[in-house]
Amino acid sequence: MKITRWLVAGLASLLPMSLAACGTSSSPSQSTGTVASANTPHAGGTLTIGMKGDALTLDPMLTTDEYSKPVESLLYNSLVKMGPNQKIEPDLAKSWSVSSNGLVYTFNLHRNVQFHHGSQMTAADVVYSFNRIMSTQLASPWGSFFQPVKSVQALNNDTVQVTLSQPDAPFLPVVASFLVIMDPTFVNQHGGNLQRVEDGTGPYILSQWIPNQSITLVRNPHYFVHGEPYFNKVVFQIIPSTTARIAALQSGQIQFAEFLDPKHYGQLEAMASAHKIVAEKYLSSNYHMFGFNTQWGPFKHQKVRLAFSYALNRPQILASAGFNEGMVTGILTPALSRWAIPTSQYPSYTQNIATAKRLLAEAGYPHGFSFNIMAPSSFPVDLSSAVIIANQLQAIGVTAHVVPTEWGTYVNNWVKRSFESFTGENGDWTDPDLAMYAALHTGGSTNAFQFSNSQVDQLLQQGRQSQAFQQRYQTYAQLQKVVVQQSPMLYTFASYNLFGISPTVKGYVHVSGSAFSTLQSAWFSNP
Amino acid sequence: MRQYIVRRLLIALPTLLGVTVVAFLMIHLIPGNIVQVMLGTRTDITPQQLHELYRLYGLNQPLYVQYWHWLSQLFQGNLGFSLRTGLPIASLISQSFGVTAELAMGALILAVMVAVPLGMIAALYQRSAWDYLARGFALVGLIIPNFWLGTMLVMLTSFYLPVFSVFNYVPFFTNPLANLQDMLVPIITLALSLMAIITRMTRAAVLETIGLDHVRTARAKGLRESIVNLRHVLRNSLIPITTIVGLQFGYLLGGAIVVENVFSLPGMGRLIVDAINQRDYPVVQSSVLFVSAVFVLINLVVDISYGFINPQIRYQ
Amino acid sequence: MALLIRKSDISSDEQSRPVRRIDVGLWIGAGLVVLVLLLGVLGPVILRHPDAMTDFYLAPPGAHGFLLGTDQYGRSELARIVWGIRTSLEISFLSIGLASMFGTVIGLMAAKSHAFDMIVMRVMDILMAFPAILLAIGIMAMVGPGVTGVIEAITIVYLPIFARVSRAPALEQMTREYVEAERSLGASTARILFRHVLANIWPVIIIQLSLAISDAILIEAALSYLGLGVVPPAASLGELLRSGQSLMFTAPWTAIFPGIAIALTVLGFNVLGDAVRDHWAIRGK
Repeated sequence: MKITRWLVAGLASLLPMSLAACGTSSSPSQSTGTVASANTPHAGGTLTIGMKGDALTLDPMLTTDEYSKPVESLLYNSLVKMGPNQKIEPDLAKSWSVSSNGLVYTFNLHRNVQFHHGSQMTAADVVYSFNRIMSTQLASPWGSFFQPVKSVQALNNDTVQVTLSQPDAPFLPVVASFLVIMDPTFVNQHGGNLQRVEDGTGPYILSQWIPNQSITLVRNPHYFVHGEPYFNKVVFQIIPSTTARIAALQSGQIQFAEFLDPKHYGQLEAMASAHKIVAEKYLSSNYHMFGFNTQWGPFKHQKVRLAFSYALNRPQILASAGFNEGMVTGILTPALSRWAIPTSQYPSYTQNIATAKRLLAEAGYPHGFSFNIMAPSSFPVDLSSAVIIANQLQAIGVTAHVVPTEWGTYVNNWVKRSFESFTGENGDWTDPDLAMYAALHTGGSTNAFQFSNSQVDQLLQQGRQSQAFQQRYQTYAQLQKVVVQQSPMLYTFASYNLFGISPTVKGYVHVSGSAFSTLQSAWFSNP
Repeated sequence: MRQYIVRRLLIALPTLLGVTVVAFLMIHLIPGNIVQVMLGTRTDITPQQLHELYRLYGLNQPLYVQYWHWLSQLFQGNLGFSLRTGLPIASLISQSFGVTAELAMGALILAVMVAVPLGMIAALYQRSAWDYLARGFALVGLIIPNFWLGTMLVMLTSFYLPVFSVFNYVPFFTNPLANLQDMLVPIITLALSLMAIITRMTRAAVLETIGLDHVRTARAKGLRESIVNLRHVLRNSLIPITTIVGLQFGYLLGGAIVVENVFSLPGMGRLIVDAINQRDYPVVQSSVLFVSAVFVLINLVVDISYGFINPQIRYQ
Repeated sequence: MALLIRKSDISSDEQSRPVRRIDVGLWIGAGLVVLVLLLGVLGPVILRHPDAMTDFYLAPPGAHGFLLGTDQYGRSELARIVWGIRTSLEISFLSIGLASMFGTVIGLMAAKSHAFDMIVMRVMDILMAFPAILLAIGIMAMVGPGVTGVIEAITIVYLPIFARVSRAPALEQMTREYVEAERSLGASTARILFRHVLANIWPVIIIQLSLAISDAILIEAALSYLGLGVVPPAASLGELLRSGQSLMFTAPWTAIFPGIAIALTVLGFNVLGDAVRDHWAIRGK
């Protein structure tokens, strides 16, 4: 499935604030993030969460699917975590300091933190966990983010020092999103295989896992945050059909579910206005896009790609493929408000058929041409986008054939770069370097566009090395404009995601990039 | 008779061997592989890591080696392990097949319970309101796609009968009541088309029997109507009804795969489709083989049982 | 929903049926089928293009001049359904046509050559060892979503059925005297098979064919409903049902009308199929 909407969703130091972004929506039924309640938290009850799919693994360092992360987020902790407003907050490290040259990070750990199986968490476990995710033997897909780490040392039982080989702005967000602290004794007992077992430090403990049916977690009575968590049990119930999940929410079988397909928001908001549920929307940092193979025929010409940008009517794509549940975006979505520049700064975002035709003629295609759009058949929004884009391109005499493609085949074509163009989703990166480097750098591992531009390469390098925010901001502002002008892909819009929550659940605040971990401080008003 | 059974079993074996080849090739010929699907389009991964992953999942071996590996394990009674979750496939199948089998069995029982009396009434009171009702029902049952009916029922129950809008499957032997609460609507959905067919068959069979000589004789002898109906008519009609029920059971398995999808039940359909999407090769291969083996076996049992019901059939 | 219930396996049906009823069924069925065919063939010509998008997203039936409302792209639901009927008919006719053609050839050749019979019928056994929908799912996964894929899948599912159905009577025909007579007159095997044997067994194939058409429509619908069959921008009845059912709570018409269209289409072919079967069954007696 789609890789890790969760994992990545919040890498960063930005303040976008999903909830603030949501304020731009005109929907009447959305609530604020905090379900305000005069009630004080109290323990009890079983929270049943409706999930679209089963977790594939419980090893966070090997997780690439979107269904494992929500479960893992309640089982494990890292040193630091993403907080509201995208601030880095303490987790197992109660404080930390950074040397003035940005190379040495020193973390002070909480004392008296226990793993679920009873052993004490110490600095040695943190060192082990860093080494595990960086080891070539584990082949963690996220290991490459830790490349700047030169060494990790335990100064004493409660202090860990990490030395980097070069300053790395996204280091703390990477730690918050990808590192978890594990118990080496337990890992070794299981021969390194943590797919089905866990010994984390998190608020809940794995109790039962019936594959394809449900995962049951029980309260960790020794959790290091005093009083938390509140639910006695959390059950992840697998209900693949979205219609069935809505029905289950309606009938009270589940009390919590996240919905990603805007098709269903109308019904959920109707339920919210009838006070059956609380519908909480937030803007995703994930964007929908239309990508070119810049080594294929007409798409070699920057003018053709730019002409397409002028030919698109992005608000119409948003209205029809996204049911108007989102915002038009560039490569950094408005959710990343700290970095994203307004789309009004992109001239080609205003539809202009005449300009598009002129550019097309200048590139040598006055009478248009025809090509294929590969669209993932299991992602309704991207499939719809392709249909509408093909429709809009008729206006400039270009014929596009939509080729719906099964996901596995799609990935295979993507890896082999065997497509003319495609629609898809990307993003969920909250640091601009993570969002852009691998995708746009010449020869980058996710640069399926085979895009190569020396100015872009140089700016990417510059943004990675600079330290001060203002300097980085300038670099990335310029980069965003250059990328839209070059158009290796056309960004269309970012969707809202929606949580349907039972009104009896109190105290839940969604924090982008932390999956479901904030459920540890939620409770039932009537358990 | 015994010879016939042995011969049929012997024919089934090469057929199942053929099924292993088809199932294996089918999943391996689909573009994309488990590593690609796992990594998706966003992971930043080095070629060495990729190589390591291919080695880990055994994808660097030639196809015939992979096939032989799977087959030799099968001969040792080992269905293998899921590449993606590491779980033994035997336990995955035993969980999932329980759901599908219960759905199919439940639908069969319900259909027979409703349709046989309905068909009899329709035939005994030919051209009455009952008859037209039964025939209308039989027609409607045949033309409504069950997944459409199921979707409508999911919506309606969640509004009006939330008691039956349950999505946490509980095995029958754990808690029969909770299980029925969960399975009733899906069973009704799957049973509808079968009810339609059985109603038609029963009506036709009973109509034919009524006209038979010995039934007329029994009636002429002055036996009470209800006794004639039960003793003579129903018994004689049973042969064609049993035939049709047997024939349908195998196909119910297929229908159950679609219906369980509508109701999000964790059955064989979900197991197989998920595994195809994940390119979890051993799970697809072994589950498909298992379903086919059950299917072949059921058809075999049905064929053989005709001999017991209807001694006129001879086995060559 | 006769999905995966191969009605062809039902060897006998209401036998004591007066001739008059057959004609009624034939006329009703034929009438519905003609209506559906007309819709499928002429509808796309008369109605506005099904891909034409308007600004009226999810308009309810009757609003803005859309008889059956619009879908999420503001396309006329009526035009989509008419287009969907066309695609569904195309799929079912083509796949059943191909399956019956190749299946019959295989059946006839199996009746002729024992070696061929042994090998090919074993392969057919293997294909028959899968529940139909499972085989179709597997083939769809292999060939990928789309109209061509669905046609291939349904063809392969029905191939062994037609091979078996034609093989048995062909075998029986081969033992007849006239075959011997023809052979002694120097007729080639091909001539005997495709001229004489075929002439005697084709009612069986027609009966099977008429029954399979509506099953094929339902299999297409099931595959597309599961998201494995026809996918947008193409429209088929199953695909419309799939897109409609996810909008069911907000725009129920997008789920209800395609369902009705499927039911009516299947009804037509069902009744016609039954009538055809009765017609031949009676003539056969």
